Amino acid sequence: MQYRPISAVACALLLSACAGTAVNNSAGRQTIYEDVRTSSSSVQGIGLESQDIVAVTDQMMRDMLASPALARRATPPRIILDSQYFTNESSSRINKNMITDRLRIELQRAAQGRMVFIGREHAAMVEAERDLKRSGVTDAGTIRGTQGTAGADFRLVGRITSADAVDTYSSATSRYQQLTFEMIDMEYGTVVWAGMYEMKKTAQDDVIYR
Amino acid sequence: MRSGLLLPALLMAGWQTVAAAQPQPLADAVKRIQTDDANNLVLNQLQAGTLALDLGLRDESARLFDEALAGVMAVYADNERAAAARGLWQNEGAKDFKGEPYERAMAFYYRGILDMYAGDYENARASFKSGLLQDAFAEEAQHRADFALLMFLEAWSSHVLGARDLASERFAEVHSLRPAFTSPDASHNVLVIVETGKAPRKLQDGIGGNLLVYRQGKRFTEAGARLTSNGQTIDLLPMESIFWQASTRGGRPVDSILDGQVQFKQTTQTVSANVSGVAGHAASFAPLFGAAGGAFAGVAAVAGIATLATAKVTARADNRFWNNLPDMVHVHTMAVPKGERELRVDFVDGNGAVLPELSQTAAIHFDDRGRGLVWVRARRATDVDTK
Repeated sequence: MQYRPISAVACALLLSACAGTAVNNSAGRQTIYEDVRTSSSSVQGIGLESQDIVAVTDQMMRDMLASPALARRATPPRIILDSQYFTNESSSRINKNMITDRLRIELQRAAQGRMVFIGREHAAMVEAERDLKRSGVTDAGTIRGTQGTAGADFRLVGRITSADAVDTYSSATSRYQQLTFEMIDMEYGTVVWAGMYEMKKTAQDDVIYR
Repeated sequence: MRSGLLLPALLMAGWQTVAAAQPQPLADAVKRIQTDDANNLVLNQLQAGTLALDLGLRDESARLFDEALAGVMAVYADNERAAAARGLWQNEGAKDFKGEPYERAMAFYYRGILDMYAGDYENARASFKSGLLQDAFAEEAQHRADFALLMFLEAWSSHVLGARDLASERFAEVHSLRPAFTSPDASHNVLVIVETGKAPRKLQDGIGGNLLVYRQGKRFTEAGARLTSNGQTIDLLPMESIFWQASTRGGRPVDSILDGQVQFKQTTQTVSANVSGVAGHAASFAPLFGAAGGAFAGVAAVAGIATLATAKVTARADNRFWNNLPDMVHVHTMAVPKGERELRVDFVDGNGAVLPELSQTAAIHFDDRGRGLVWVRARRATDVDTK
């Protein structure tokens, strides 16, 4: 009788050994739509993710709309808001247009005419069309004719920076990221509005990958 | 990030549609992505991405590296295969391949080169910085974050972007690691990167192959690179030894797990040997003792199961390696007018003798802002060691 417990342990060992040989035949998963404003339940990292882009652009939009220098002028200011002077000095690879496009479009929708946005990155396209109109290849269109295209009052500049840290004991990795936005007076060179967004993310990989 | 099975399946499905129009070596490499074990997905993507870059198929290479880096950057916080690889019954090679730190760093190196080709030096810099972060995982402090190549490339990216302060800070760090290095002149607009030799190899060593050791690649003699431009011959600076980066990482936390598996195996072997000596007699005598004979049969069962457990414990280190990496990377910067398009690159052995069979002419790739890049390999990405 004294061997029975040992036999039970042995059986458990045998079962464990059998379990280790199982083939991974877990089922797939249907495509699901996830909320862009929240962290994904299955895929996360320490770089900039959808919820960060949404959060930062939402905050900057609210800030700009609350700024008298930008949103409460008697004549709506003309603004260039693109990624040309928005630099990425961080360790996160990103398409900066994701940030500036969302910011511009959301601002355009929310400002309801209080700000006018200039599509400077499409300047060549506009000039080509103007040339066609002025050379008589096409008619003048239905809106109006102007001497020149719109000049800008303000232009967005900004920077993405980061500081990475690794805890060499636990191999946890953290990334502090800072996104700065400034609106420059394109005549006088002053900064008329500034905003900043910062975040820090930490993750730790499984021990087998450290 | 938790890894699911969905991502590899989607990535493999995506590649099925484009594999048909590729050169044969790349088509084979892409096919391997689809047909090999799912836990080799990232390894096969990295090797196919390197091959595509070598073949000049930069868009395909970029796509492959993006997919591979998604796997490399995945945080395995709650992953079944990672948990299994921690257990007693599977080799370390059962885990999804993400590479050792030097391999992860090199994945970012190639992604950065592709960004430079595309004229996107901001994302190139982000890639090189991310690669440098991977080197911070080295266990030996003196070799932590000493990946001079990535530091140099980060600095070069800042240099061509006009961020002088960022560039000079990093160039100074490179100089501290490579005293022979001198910072590029402000007029320099072309970067030459030359890769020589073959990838570091990973071998299993120790009891039951539980230790991972590194060996240099086999069957190559080139040790340096020489550039001829406008009648001038320049020896390139050896900026990084990938073998050095691989072999100076030190022990890994997973080594303790493998060591524990070996200890368990040794213990169960001892138990099995001790008990089976008794069991041999017990099984013979059991019929003589009637009901009490069951106890002797139990001894035999324990001995058998202990032996089974020993046989099931596998503690082999993961010796899968990225086989088309180079052994060394050499660099040079210079000022070149945009019209000049070609350079001659010769390779030399350890004695400085030119190896004519490896000599080649390389094109300078200029982006629309006049920033040039030359990337040359001494050997094709198909000339690899498999073990």
